[in-house]
Amino acid sequence: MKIAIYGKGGIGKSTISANLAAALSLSGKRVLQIGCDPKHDSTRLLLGGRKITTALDYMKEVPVARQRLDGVLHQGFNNIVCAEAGGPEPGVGCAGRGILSTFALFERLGLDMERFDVIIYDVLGDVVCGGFAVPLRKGFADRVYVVTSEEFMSIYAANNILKGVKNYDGEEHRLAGLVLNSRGDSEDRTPVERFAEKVALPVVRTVPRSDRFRQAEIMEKTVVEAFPDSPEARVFHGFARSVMENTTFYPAFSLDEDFLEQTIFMGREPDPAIEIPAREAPETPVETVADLATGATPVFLSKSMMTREPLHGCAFAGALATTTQVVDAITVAHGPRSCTHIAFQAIFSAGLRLHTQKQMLVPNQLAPAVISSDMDENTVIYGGNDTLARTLETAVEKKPGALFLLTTCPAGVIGDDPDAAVREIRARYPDLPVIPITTDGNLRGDYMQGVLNASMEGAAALMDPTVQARPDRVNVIAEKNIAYNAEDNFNTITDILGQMDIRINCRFVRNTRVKDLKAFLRGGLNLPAYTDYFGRIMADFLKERFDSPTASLPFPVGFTESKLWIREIAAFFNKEEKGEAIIEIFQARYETLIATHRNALKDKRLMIITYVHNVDWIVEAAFDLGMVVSKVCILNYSQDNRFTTRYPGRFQVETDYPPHQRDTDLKRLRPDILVGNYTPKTLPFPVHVDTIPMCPDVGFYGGIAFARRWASLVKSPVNEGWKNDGI
Amino acid sequence: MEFDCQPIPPDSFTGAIMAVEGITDAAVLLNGPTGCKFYHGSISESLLSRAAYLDPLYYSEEFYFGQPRVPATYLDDYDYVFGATQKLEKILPVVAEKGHSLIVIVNSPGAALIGDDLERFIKNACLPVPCLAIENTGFSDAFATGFQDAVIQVIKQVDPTPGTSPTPRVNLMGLSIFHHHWQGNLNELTLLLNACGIEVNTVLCAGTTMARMENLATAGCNLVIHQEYADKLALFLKERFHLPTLVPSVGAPMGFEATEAWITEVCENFDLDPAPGMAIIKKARNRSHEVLNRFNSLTGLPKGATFALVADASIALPLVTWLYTYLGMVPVAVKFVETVDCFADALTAFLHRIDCADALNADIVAATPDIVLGSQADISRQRLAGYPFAGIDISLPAASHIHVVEKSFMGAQGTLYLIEKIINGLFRKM
Ligand code: SF4
Repeated sequence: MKIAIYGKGGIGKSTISANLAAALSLSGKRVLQIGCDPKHDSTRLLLGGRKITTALDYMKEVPVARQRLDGVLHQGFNNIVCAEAGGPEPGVGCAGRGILSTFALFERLGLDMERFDVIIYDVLGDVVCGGFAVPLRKGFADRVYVVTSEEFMSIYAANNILKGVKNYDGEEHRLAGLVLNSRGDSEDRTPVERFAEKVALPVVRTVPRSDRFRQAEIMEKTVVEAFPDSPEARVFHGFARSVMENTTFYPAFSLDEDFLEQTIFMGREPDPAIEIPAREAPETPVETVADLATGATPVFLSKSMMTREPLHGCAFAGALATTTQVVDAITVAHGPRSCTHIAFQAIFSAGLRLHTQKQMLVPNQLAPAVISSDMDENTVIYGGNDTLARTLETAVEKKPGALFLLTTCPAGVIGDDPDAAVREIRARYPDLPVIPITTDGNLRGDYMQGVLNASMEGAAALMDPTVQARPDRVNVIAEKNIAYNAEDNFNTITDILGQMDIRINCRFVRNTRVKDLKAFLRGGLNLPAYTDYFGRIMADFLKERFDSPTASLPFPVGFTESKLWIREIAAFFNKEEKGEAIIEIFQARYETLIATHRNALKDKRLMIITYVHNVDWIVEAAFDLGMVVSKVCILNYSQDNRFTTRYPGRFQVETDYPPHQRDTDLKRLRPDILVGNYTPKTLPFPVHVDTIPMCPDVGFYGGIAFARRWASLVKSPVNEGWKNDGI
Repeated sequence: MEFDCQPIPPDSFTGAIMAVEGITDAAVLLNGPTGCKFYHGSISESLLSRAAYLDPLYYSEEFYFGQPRVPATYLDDYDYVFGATQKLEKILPVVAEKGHSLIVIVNSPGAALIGDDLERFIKNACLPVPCLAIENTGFSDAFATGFQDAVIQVIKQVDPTPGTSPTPRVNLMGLSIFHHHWQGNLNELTLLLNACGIEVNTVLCAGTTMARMENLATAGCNLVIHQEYADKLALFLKERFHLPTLVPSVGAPMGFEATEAWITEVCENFDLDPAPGMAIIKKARNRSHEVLNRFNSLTGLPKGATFALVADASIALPLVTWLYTYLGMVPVAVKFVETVDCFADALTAFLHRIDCADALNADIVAATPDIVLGSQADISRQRLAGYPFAGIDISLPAASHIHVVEKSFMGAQGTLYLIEKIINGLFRKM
């Protein structure tokens, strides 16, 4: 049972929630209470007044990789499990967004809600924005109680809450009734009674005003705990029983504001709401709760998410760059047009570069299949579910093979509930896969997280787990969709595999179709384009979810890597002989190339400054050409800090290279050629400079391709005239 | 699948950023995630370059993320909940140190929703540089709306002092750095205006400076290039400085006739003789005749060649008119990106007059034109249809061609450049 208790701030809903929780627990129920109020004092009386870390503070302070449920769940009175969402000071930030983040945290950490008999959400009801409405959403709360007092502002807030409930109520109703937290016997109850009558709701319980509440509060306990035999405690035991037994739920009606004022109050002046004074809590540590996770959902997070580093890009754009690789699917982007424009441009410019430089027309990069819901000011204020439903409908009319749904930051901040629109579309078009992907702009992570989510929640959702592997078929995984040589590299790999009679079954996720993704498991082995962090996560995911094996080596660059790569695949498919024959052919060609350029480059000194952590492909070529590698300097690059080399001791290496050291090193080492990812503008003396790509071309000749260039580079003047023309 | 994948144009958020980044000594400080930052940082630097280095190492300090432009508070989930106070307090002095004459804090679409009190931060930061905040650039509004609103806010901040000039002087309006070849267009128009004795005062806002912004009220009038990007601004300048605005009836000065009419209208406004400007155009007309005469005698073209155009109404009107009347080409598909009624209506009437009314909003792919004029995204979409045509990228995103010689679509040289593109396109297609 999941109960949401809504009410205006300061009305006493936390006291009511805590007492109800206490009464329920004493009746033998396992109870979880979640405070959804930035004041984060919902569970204080259950915890003996002790402060606990709110979910939002925990998220900020603890890196994702180290986050555990016991950091946010705490043991209270009679084993009641307590949590507080927390939130900002009034006037800054967005508290509603905090509720959304808290629920996302619980979901990510795998909180098993099924282990509780009752879950109580104590929710601030002054504002029913998307965030505060989270418990109203299907699956979170299945019954709602609205707490009010006799005062105007409290009833006004109750009326607003009913409006919110109405928006989120589907065919089944969840309203169980009003709870009157009386301000005293002398108060006029007529407005509450009239309000209850007009909105057709019963007042299911009246909590009398009593000094015992104040006394219990001084003891930092609930009345149920502090005065177990008191009439007040009995009210809550009765309330607990009625909550458990109740089977009647009401539709939500709300009143027009003028009507509310005139009819309910008839000109009566509202009293100011009475705030419960905040109290300093003792700093005693609180017992935490472990072992409440389902443990079923492994979490695959990008590096920035794991370490709480600044996020690079947004999950929305990363996901869009991935879902648009499924060429017969449409992606609906829910948000303002700017977000889709920005993400579209990144995809388009990669496509344009391919066309300009390589005359390759890649349709899904030049004209990605995406529709923006073009969220406007109105949608932002009143919620965007209608707009989203219409946009989804437009997409369905185009008869796609699958439909992906991505959300942007604004959709996430206002707390739109895309699930409702998705359920509706699924119900109407049961044969069409409609797949929402966790993004909310960058609220759920960076660009890489979006790529991961789109691959795992999106493309992988289309895979048929019953499909069996077929002989001599492989899948390609973890290609970089923004790398301009991704297509060339794929062609090189296809060519080498073809020579071993191995076919590519599916690319996960690049330039592919829904049917290929469905038949993904026909591929007996996955070949990772890269074994960087992204490649490793993809491999782990495919193993974990589908028991689908991945080769250990990435697409190879340079001679040795290519040789080892062919051997690994040949061994897997029992084609060792074929593999060796191919290597022999490439070796002969490679040696000819080396011989052609060795004279020009022999004994030339090479220095490398790069962001790329694997330089063996270029170092190998340099050594084979008889060059001297003076030093390799690896600049800091957060996505993957894994420098390794097959040539330990043969050159100086410095990782985490401080850029300002470059000139000193240059003066000391005097290289003939300096290579890096960018040409530096100022150097201490003229030197031949060349650039190497972040993602090099794969295959046997990846490194040696530079030999020809360097051979002519060393013949060119060391300083070009144009460099003197700068102002 | 029956999906016709259309390009997604920018909206008012990008418009606002481009307006500020179009002022060479002003800088946008984005209160938003890096997801919004990288694109704007990269595009503003490529359209109006200010940096000497491209290596991200030079811009590795916090808030810059390897780019010289558009520093950002890199908001994340936590900042949306608790506000960006701390980051804003840290970033403002860092950006203020860079020597800009104005800092404009622009909220990203997500940040606009949490309502951080940017004015308060600015006040508390006690910066040595003027700073203003644009808290909400709108959601999915037109690029032109965001652009103009931002320009208006900058003008309000600058608060130019009214004045007069002894020489005829105009502010050019409705040109942004997001207009393809904006610099070349500006050079061409300046050349024509200068030839007629008219000085260009301030360009709102493409390649201008804060000093020029301060000076804007000394112009005799505002002269509009693209009305879509100037209508709101004109009202504001009228109200605030009593500055009149001249909107040439032909739209943008593209094609010989429109350029002649444009300079004539401007000169009439100042009671000046347009003859020197007309002489420049005449020279270009002679060159055009020489080339077209040869091309036409060998091929019969460009007469009868078909074209499709995707453009703002202020471009579409002069261009369609000129392509039809001067080159004899036939419109088969015409689409507006942003529009103002006066030009859109005039073009619709023109299309009716020449019996090409069905070209309006016709599907470009189905129309199989010989030439497509639009953004490179429009052209690429057409390219995927797989039949031969020539594309001319008149708006952004543009083709990835590195332009060394400054190009223009406007004025005398701009018209010749268009002719060059058209006849070479048709020639290649033959
Ligand atoms: S607002 Fe969010 S979703 Fe939109 S582009 Fe910026 S970071 Fe991405």
